[in-house]
Amino acid sequence: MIAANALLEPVLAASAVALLIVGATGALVLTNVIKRLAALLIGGFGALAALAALGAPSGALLAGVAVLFAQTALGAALAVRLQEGYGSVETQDIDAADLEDDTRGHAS
Amino acid sequence: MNGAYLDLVRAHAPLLMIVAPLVGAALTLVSGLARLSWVVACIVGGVAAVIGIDFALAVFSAASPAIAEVGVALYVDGIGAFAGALMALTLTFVLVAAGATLKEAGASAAPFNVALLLCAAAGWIGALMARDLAAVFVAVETAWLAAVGLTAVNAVQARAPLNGALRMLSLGGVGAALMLLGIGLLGRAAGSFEIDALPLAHISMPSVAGAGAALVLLGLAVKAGVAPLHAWSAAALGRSSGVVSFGVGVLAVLGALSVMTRVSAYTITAPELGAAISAALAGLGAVSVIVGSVQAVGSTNLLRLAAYAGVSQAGCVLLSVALGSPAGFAAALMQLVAFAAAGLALYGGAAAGRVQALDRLDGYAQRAPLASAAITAGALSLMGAPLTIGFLGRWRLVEAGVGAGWWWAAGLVIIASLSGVFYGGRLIERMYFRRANAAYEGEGGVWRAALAPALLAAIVGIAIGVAPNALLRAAAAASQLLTGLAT
Repeated sequence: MIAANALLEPVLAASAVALLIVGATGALVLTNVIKRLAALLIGGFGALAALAALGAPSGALLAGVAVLFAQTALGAALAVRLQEGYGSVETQDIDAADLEDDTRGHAS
Repeated sequence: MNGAYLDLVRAHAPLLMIVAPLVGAALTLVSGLARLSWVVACIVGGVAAVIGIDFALAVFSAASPAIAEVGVALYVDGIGAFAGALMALTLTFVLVAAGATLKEAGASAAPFNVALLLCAAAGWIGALMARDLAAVFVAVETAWLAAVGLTAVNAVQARAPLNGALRMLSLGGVGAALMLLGIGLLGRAAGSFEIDALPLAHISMPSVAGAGAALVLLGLAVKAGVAPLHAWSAAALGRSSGVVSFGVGVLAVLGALSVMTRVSAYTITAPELGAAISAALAGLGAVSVIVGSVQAVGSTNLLRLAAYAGVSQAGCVLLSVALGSPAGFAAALMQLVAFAAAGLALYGGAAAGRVQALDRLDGYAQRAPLASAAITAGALSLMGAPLTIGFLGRWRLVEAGVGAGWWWAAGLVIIASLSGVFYGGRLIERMYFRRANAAYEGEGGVWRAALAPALLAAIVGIAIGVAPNALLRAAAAASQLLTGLAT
């Protein structure tokens, strides 16, 4: 039983790290804001799972959950404001609109 | 009777520095009125600054103060006391200065703005005083999410800050996940999640602990806007209002750099981790100096220029910390003060006339002489010109670097200063040697007085450059006091 636990721990930790990497990559690469938020959530869950697998105290896990919740709530509100401001939640559209605003600012 | 109250406040000073801004944030939200909330926030910020400075002075005096135990795991060390006082003082300056541009996002948003500024400062100060790595994480994320909220709330006159807030959330979120994983790895390898245990811990798995420490520092580097992890800074600050410039460009970056300095000081002094962390910080610092300098030279927007100059300055802070010696930590603390003074002066001067594009600086000295003087002082400090605090910070880094045989670090400081001469000189040339091409858009009335902090920061920056002994002694004492005052 002890040997099985010792074997399970690194497997759990590796899976959690893989989840984190997938989420982090998605958060940096995806162009849709909603998908990016989902990726952040996946990465956050990966980090929490890794923390649990590494034997962190429950206080640290709770803190991580609270931060992840706040981050998601703020992200959802931001997505709404982006849709209102730019009429899109695609980062290419948002970047293009900013570039246009910049050019117009220089011209005026 | 009053003496007893004073003693009580002093015994609880670290906790009060965290709690006072949080209570102030609640009060500003309850007040509901723009000017009332601003006054309340300024008072609370002032109280926190007085407590912080008094506490720091007590810590650096011969007799260390007694700190009351209140069930909260705080651990006050020299870097925490110094940077905590600096944060509280900067918060006060930022709050007073923010008054001039507070209504740009509408009067109803003003209480939210000051509440978010107070929450952010409480978070950074909390991270500077926390004992547990998980508490450091929570405090840092509280401050960071408040900064993201501040950026988003103020995207009214221009929508670009919304894009900046998105980048802050995305990059900061990835940084938070990496930091959380790093805390788990570091705690597992060191056998403790308490920051003060790291230098003395018997680390059974140095590679795991090293990876953990690197991830924690990487998460903080994202928030400090260290190159090449600073993709959020230009987007968030380039077209921002004055409140965001002060709250994110000065307060958030200063807080993240201070926390990074503190965490680095503990990990770099752990024998099993020291060499690897030192190399990683030196590499990151060198890249940040070069990238920040090049981008600042190429900027056509004053706010972006200031943000990139901050990236370069952050690189100098990391180079100082990478030395891993008390002289290096002292140099880092001096540069934190220089960063705060230069940032307040530059952003304050820009906010006075709502200057964003560099061409609006043409003839600025005729339209707004005081704001121009503030920008000039900030630019001179970024150049590292003699008799400014910027020179003092960089000189300490050169001294410490050459003492450790790091000649290349001295070379990087020279690169940072030379590029500072180029972009800072361009600002001065535009303000004083060109004809005005735009009207001054500063506000009148009571709000104009709120621009005084920019000028005061400029004066303080030069005054410390002329008479630096007290600050040098405080920084040296702080760097020696890594074994903290536990509660």
